[in-house]
Amino acid sequence: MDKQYIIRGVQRSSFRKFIAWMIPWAGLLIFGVYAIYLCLAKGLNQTNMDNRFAFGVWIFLDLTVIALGAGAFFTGFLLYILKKKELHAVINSAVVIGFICYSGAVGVLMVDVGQPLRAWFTFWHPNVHSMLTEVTFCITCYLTVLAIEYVPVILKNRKLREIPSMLVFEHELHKLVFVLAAVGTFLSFFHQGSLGGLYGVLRGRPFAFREGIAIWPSTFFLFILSAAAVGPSFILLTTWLVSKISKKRLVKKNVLMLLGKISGALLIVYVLLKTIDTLVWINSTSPAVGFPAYEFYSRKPFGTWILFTEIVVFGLLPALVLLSGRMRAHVGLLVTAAAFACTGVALNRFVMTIQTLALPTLPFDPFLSYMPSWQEVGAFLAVIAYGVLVYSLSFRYLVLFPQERELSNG
Amino acid sequence: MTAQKNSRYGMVIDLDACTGCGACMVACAVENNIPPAPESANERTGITWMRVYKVLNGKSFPDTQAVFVPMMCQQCEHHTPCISVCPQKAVELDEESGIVAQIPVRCLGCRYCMTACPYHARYFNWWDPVWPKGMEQTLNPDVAPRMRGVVEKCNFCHGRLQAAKAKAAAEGRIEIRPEEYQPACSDACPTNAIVFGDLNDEQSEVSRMAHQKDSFRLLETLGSEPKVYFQSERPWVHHIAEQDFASPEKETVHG
Amino acid sequence: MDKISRRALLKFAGGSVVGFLFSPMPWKLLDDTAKWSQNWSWIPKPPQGAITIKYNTCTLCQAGCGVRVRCVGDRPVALTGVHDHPISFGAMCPAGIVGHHLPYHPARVTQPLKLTEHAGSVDQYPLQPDELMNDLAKVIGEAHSSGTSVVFVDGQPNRYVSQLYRQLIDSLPNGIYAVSPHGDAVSAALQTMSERPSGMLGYDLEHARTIINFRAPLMDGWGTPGRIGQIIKQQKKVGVSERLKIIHVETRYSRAAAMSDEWIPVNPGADVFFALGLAHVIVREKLYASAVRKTADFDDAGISFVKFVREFSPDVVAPVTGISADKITRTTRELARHTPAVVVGGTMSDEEAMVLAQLNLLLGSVGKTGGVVARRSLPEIMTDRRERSAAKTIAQIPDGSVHLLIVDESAAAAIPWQILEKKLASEKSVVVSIASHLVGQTKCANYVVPSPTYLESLRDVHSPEGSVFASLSVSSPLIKVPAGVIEPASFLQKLAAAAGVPASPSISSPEDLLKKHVDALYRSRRGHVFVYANKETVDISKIESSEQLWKLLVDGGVWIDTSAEPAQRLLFFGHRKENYARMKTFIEERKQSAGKRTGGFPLALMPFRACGDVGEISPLMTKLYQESGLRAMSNRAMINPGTGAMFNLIDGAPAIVSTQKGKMKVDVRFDESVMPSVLFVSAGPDKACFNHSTAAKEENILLLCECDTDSLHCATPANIQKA
Repeated sequence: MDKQYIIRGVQRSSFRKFIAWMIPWAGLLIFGVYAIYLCLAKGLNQTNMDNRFAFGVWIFLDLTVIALGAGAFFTGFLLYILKKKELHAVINSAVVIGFICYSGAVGVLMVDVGQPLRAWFTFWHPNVHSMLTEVTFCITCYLTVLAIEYVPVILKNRKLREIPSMLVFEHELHKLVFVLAAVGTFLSFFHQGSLGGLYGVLRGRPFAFREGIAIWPSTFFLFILSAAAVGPSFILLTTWLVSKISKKRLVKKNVLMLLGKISGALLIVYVLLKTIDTLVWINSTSPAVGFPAYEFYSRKPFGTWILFTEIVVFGLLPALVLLSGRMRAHVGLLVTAAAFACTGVALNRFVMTIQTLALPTLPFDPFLSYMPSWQEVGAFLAVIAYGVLVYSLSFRYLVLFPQERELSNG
Repeated sequence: MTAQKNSRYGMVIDLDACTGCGACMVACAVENNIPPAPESANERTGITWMRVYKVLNGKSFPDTQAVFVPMMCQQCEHHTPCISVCPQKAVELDEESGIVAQIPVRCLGCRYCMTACPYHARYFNWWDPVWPKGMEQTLNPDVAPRMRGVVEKCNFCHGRLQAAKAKAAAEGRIEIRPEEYQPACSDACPTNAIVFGDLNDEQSEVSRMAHQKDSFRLLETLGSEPKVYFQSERPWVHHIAEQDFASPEKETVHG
Repeated sequence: MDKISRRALLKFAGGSVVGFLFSPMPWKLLDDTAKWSQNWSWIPKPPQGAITIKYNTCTLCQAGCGVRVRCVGDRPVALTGVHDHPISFGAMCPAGIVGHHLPYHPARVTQPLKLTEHAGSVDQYPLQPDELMNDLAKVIGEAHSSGTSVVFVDGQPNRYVSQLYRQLIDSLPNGIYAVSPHGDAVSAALQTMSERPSGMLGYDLEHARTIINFRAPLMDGWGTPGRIGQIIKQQKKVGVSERLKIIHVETRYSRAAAMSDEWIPVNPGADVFFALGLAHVIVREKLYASAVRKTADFDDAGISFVKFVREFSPDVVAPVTGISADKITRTTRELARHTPAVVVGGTMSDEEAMVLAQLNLLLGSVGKTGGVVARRSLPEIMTDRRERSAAKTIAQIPDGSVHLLIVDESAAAAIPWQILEKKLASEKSVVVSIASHLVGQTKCANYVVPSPTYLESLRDVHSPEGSVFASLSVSSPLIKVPAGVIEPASFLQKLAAAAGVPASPSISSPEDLLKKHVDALYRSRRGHVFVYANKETVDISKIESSEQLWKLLVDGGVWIDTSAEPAQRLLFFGHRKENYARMKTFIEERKQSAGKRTGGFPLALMPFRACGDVGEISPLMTKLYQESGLRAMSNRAMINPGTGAMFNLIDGAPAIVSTQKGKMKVDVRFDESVMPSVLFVSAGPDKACFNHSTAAKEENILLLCECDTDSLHCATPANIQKA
């Protein structure tokens, strides 16, 4: 039915099957949009956030999604700036994933703030000292970059290529791609860092507060590094997942292994720096403001196990697997290690957001708990459904994996 | 024309005199047009610029002792945690009075400042402000009610400072007299446990009391230089300012 | 004309979009949406108007605090204390600070209602005043023919207007004027011990060195908040050794206990034995004031106080009270050493109060500076003997004898419903509540008569609880009474008329009555007046006329007596022979019941409530009850964490409390200060005070408790389990 729109040379499932796949996701999206409507129309009382837990599951997942979406900028950086030609096989997919992650996160943020209509005040009355200003500027700019990067991918669609002016436009845009990659890399570095800085500057929250270099706390650099490390892992993971679901070979194995290797190399550096940072924090930063660090881990359920799990189980372990050429060659291990690395970053963002807020600051404060409401979960499910829908459409009608044609014919 | 000296308004709260009656809390709500809570609000979603915490000494019956600790924005002066984090300058430190001001109409409700505040003195409007029908007749004409989705907090009844300044100006003065400017809470306290004044004025009661050896501040080690001091003759009460007072076994707060 | 192609149309649309983006329109729209968010039409705008200051006196309780009212265009917007006020010292309680919200309360009643209960909710049917009167006239007729009575229960009987109520009720056939137990039980007990009962008594706390307080909420509604505030403030200024010491005796670690120097946590219901233990040690160690020996029944052959307390040695009372013998002895010696010492009590039974009164007598504090002093009575204008005789208390009304029960708002708030219900003759008996708000027990009534609320009518306030000098102030209306609201006196007049009783001759209105009293006061030439507006004290001799005195009071002033009454001679058991026997029986009963636990009910359930917890309060009090944990909303249960764990409870989770009377859902909070095996449940404000729906039936823990009078101190055997 939609044959004429599908890329030449690749097999796609029947239109009926495709619709059957899309319907449940569309249903989830509608449910999520209803949850979002409730939050916008009735106010944030629809969430289970409160004055003590002023950030909740939204911020935690936004940070995670943005870290995982870092694959887009980092792959672009590796491909266009460092000339890692193999990555051409996944760059389009990475751009789409990046676009989904960033637009989804920005969408949720607009629900998360109490007065979305005033969000643009940040551009008009920016407080240059605020990490959130940096985040806002960089994310909006980078989202624009991603949108521009997405356009040539769309323009490569079979039908659109029939229009000559579109072809010219695409060609012109393509010339820009190096500039965009450079700008994207710069912006991404900054906002990944600022997101880390968001917590590192919290003087009133000794669990999160970190000393820094120049105006940036250490979390600034750790967030950049961790995002850069798991970005390729997430591309690896999604490529593998799409390949499994679509039952197609999409990229050559060496591409996946290269992604894993890059991820592993960065992850090991991250784990090392994170360990140093943690030791400095435990022994100097935290006690200096009157908070012995062991206190933070004496409150159930957040014992020292969480620190161990984050750094060793989901950090060091996948890093070592990804760095070992032999283990990397085993797809099962490669994918598991990538999943572990992504989990590690998610756990880090969870700790920074949720544990920070659960811990008391005043000596007579209680330890707090928080459980998101269905509206909060629903709003986030909308982002996931939106992501799956956009990706599925892109996968069906656009060239996300240039090697696919070659692999399916050969 | 002489340059006017900057003030540093602050408080000393005598914890031995506070009976935990809550008069300050409602007086604050009346003055600042804070609405009554909707049905589903609770201790963590309500708005209490001024909140009295009941803090126990952590001992079991019959050795339990309690102290009532009135808490509001501590008006941090140095590295004010909430100011630097606001992305759009909705929080400002007024150099002239030392008051940390919140500008609700500029606030986008990101709540970053709330996570930054170690005193939990900031409150978000989770609901639209609603007064029972007719009760809006009792609103204070000097303070605008805030809208849903913004953060608010104690500002030492800043409106009263403006009124006092206007009154002084009308009488040809620049300086205001101490008794002309008192926030609603210190005004309402039946035991005068809340002493308010200019910490820069060495003659003031508040500056004298702040320097007494019984005085302490909460979370002093964070280095944010709060301008609210507490006082007690009871040694254990001083421990509430120390981190080792807190331990996971002691879930001691009811507030 | 050329055909418009699809491409041209698309081009046009695309061009329009690009053009629009480069026009100022999007920016203008963006700006407008932000401005809109700053000016939402549903955010109330505070009404403006001319700002004026008026002065008044708070009538929400007996304290009578001076109030400075900030008005905007005649509407009160803020109530603050009157500085230098001789009774309230510029202080106010939280309920008083938001008292001006009461006229606008969502539970406000502005027309007569008939209430029916249906499936856990209360249905309201508005009535015309005539319909109400006709219904009630019929009920009065039924009472007359069946020989049952018509009873009016007054919750604030010491107001002058109460005399008017009494006159009107007494004129009805079978009409009985009753009062709810009120005020200070210890003071009432001291009166029964004196030769000639006189006015109430006061406590000279300002000059005492030791106060031993049995459950009185000293920092929580006793006297005036300002008076206690003054005492606390003064204490800070003197050296530690000269300071007043407050010893607080109560099972619960209340706010008063927390603010005391020492807390003595007696077992539930065992306070009286602790007091008897103190009395025993005083007698044994001869620590009593020397004059006491001369008291006729101190150590007489017949009725002997010495004999009465002999059996209550510290060793005997220690296990009952849970306080060690050593502690009892030491506390007694301290009391005797640091005189003047005064014994104060909260709401309690007459017998318990008598033991405390006896302690005061033993300590020699009666009639002494720093002790218990007699207040002079205000001049009376009612000369009818029947009107001057003591009114019946609700306890004195036989159960099952009332066909029409009229309860005023404060009585409805204070007396547990099951006590009132027991008085009713049959299922068909009718309860009428005279109330301004449909909250709390008012919802249990069959009819509601809408009455004016605070700041809406002329009211008088007399000497606060425990005050040394008599005082009087008058609150004048500041807010217009809504149409449909009926002044209680005029309701009772109409009721009498409907029942066919000729109109009362002497007094026509509350104002008339108050003016007559003020006139009598003026003519007595006693005391002085503190004027709120200029903070001046005017001696009564300087006041030119009774009209001027009236004006001073109505515009914001308080009249205060200048001297107290001389001390009276007291007997330990008074002049009524049966007192001794009554005390003996009471003690025996208490001995039986103290510490008794029934099989299935291993916990001692003790309800508690603080000043302002009953009746109507401003919705803004959610700050204290709902938005912070400072005060407990109704049905919040406090339990020791250890006991809670034993019963598998979770802190903050709901649970079910059961007693022999039934079950009720509570909300559990663990609290280290709670005595193990005791369950404190707040009998606090009805949720209708805060929520916008008033329909839900009131579920108060008192309904599960064994209440005798209005006392809240009885422990009821209870059980608790996870909900």
